[in-house]
Amino acid sequence: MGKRKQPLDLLQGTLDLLILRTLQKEPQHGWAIAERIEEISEHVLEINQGSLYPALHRLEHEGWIKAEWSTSELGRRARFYHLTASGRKQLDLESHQWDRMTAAIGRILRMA
Amino acid sequence: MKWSDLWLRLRALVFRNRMEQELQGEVDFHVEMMIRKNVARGMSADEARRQAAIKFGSPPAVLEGCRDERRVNVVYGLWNDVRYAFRQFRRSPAFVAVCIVSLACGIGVNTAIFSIVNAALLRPLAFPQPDRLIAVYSVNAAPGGRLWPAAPADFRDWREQSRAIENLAAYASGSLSLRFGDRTEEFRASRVTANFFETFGVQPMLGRGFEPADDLSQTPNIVLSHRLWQSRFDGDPLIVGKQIQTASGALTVAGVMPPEFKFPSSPDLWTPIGCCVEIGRRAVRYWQTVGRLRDGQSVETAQAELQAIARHLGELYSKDNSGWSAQVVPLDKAVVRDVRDPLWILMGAVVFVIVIACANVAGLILARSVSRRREIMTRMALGAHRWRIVRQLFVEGLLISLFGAVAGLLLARWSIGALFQLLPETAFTSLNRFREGVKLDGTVLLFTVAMSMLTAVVLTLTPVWDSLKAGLVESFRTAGPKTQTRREHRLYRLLVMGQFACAIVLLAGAGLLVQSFVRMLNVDYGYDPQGLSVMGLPQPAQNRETFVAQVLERIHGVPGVESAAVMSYDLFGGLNFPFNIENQPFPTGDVIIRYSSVTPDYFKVLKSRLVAGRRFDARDSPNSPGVAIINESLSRQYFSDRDPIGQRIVLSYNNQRIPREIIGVTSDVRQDAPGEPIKPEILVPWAQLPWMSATLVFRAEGEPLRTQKLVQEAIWSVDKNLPPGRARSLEEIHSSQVATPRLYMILISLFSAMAMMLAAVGIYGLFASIVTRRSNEMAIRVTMGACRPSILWMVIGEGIRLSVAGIMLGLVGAIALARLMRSLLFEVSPTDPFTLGSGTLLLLAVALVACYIPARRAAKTDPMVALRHE
Repeated sequence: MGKRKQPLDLLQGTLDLLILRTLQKEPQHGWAIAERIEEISEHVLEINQGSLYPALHRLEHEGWIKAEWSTSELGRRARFYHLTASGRKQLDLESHQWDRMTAAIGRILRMA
Repeated sequence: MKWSDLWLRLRALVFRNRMEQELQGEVDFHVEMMIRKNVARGMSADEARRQAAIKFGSPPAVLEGCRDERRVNVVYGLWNDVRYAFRQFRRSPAFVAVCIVSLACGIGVNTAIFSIVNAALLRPLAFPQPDRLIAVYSVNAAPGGRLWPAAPADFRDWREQSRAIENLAAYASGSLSLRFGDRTEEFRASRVTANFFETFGVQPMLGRGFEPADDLSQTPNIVLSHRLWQSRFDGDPLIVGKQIQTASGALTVAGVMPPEFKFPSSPDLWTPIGCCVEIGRRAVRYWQTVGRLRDGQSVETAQAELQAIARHLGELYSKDNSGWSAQVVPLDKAVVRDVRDPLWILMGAVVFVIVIACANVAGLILARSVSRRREIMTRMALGAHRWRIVRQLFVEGLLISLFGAVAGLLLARWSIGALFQLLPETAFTSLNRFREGVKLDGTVLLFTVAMSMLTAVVLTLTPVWDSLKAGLVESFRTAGPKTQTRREHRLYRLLVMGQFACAIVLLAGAGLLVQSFVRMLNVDYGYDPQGLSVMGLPQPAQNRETFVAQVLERIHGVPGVESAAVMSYDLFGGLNFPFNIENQPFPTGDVIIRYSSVTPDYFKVLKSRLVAGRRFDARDSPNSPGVAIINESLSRQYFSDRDPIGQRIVLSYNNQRIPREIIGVTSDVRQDAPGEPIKPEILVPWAQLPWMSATLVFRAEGEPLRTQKLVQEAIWSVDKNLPPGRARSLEEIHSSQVATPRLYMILISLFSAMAMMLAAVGIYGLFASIVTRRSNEMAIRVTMGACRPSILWMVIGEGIRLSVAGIMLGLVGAIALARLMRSLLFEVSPTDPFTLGSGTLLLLAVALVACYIPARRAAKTDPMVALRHE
């Protein structure tokens, strides 16, 4: 992968948002979440497993997502996470905040 | 906290294994998926696995991160701390053993002594509303007036006139011979007023107690103790109303008391005191009292009221009562009057032991934390939080003190039994009364747990505080593990100095008690106790005069018996009566004086000296003029300015004033235990005043038990219906008299021996640590030409300086504290220089030996080995 650009470090707190957003459509297991984020971001964002799993457990601890064991597409048992009602609310809240912040930062970058 | 949160935490705890499996499964799945992806990209299986491992990073770190998010790490952490502590302990078993033994000693003796303090001083009396119970004493206005029992007439007046006291009862000691078939046996009776049981609020478990009628005439009713009822009457449920035979007639059982009622000193039975006979006596004070305050009244109001009553009585009966007042004492205080001070002193002593033990263990932990710096530095470098390290240290301290507490409890359990073995059951002391109450109950266990928690805190804080002073990180960073800084051992040095200070306090106390005890054993009794025995002599109802003469004659015929005599009551000067001088009466009225009625051979038996005049002989008959012999103390005290021979004194007895002429002065005979002074005493001839209760005193050669048996047979040859008397050798009596001081001496000596050993271990540990840490310095010194003795003396000199400093500090405390134990001392000054000096020397010798071992090791340092070790 030598010549590819160095992936970006995630901003503090954005991983939670990305996970919640990834889970919005359907339940996923940890591996798929990481793959999906990397894919959609065209490998700009690379998820570090050292922070993905603690983040998943943190979100579960907060009650925003829930985990269940079920069979993966390859017939192997995996832990699938899905959004809870309060998780959806949290996602709305955080994406709204994210929009406001990026808009603000963008304005400053353009105008200042 | 949210419910889900609580649930997750609980689940994490309860299903720990399952959760771990889930986590592991999740990680495994992820890695597997990565491998598949790599394979799909065309990698070989091995390369795919390798790349996946590289990309994923360390699975344990991921797992740890998840556990952290689940907040279950505190619990896991604690568990890990415990396991880690055990691993540490396994690596240094000697350290752990010394710690546990030290703490077991400290906690063990504290628990044991506290269980006695708890039984005797803290636990309320086992009667309904015990705080309302009081005792009333007579007290002489003279300075240093001690508390006396009450005169029967005073007791009656107090009872009739007091409004603050609802119920006032009296009791006195006595004995009763019961006949079982053809055997007669003597039992300890307590003579009590009819309201005695009612005052305590305790009902007999069978039958009734006494009734007012029992006070008016001496009715033949008795109340049995549960013990006597069980042992002699097989717990007969129909015992009430049955008749029991005695030498002088039949008695009726009026009731049986419950097993827990044993007041005053666990008597076999209770009999009516017979108020009508003795109630007129005002001059002799021998009735003990117990009362119950009326609701709303306090000890103070009762005290004020009784003082007023006593003052009034003093005016009315100036002859007997002038200068006397009354003192109200809460009953729980009254029953422990003679053990309270010693018990608190013992408790103080064991606190010193635990302080020394704690200092010991704290020092060892400190030394270890210095040598564990590398480990702690590593852990901090790996990211351990500061409080994680402190928590680890606390867990270690807690575990050590828990082990110490468990071992201490076992030690206490064993030593409580052993302790009472040291105290013969025959020794009448109020400590014995609490024998059964001493146990490891909830209060005691709570005390032990609290103490070990406190210990753990001390043990943790010492190394932490030591490090904090220098800044935790700094202290761990500075210097390699082989360089000695002055500061490093400063706290340890202070701890060892404190140990020596505490140890010398205990040693000084023990020394004083040993001195006292030796002096008690060597006290001059004024008679030769060798071969001397006393034996209660029951007398028949009739012909007592001829009986005593006959018995003495027969006993003189017993082989081995040198001489024999009869005296009144149970021991020398066992009675107290008021006396005065006929021509020059004391301005303050009669003086209570020790008194005995004796047969002429009494002086010969005791081998006491005649100082002046003559002894009793055949001239002194019931019809001849009254005579008396006084002891030297009385002569010194009341006839210092004139010759007592020929002077006339007056003895009050049964409301009669009987004049007697002094015909002789005899050498002093010690009447009571060695701690008590020799009292002035008057002796009168038995022929002129035979006494109802008599004691035989005889001197015999050979085996005491055989002689006592022969003497008993001689008595039975005169009257075979008499109950056997209990014989005791004077040596036996003396040893039971000093049994309590002996117990205190043994205990304090034991504690100070412990203290000394612990202090020795402490100073040894300090210098062992110093020598190890300074092995480099020693090696350099040797290389530079220092001779080995100079290194030896350098270390020992340091040890001596340290222990001397500690001892000097402790001596100041010892002198200050010794005054508190004056009440336990006998003929020894609390600041006896010999005792303090020898204690100091002993402790220094121990310190010297303890320092010598590490010092020798330092002197033997091989420079090559020490330097190469670096």
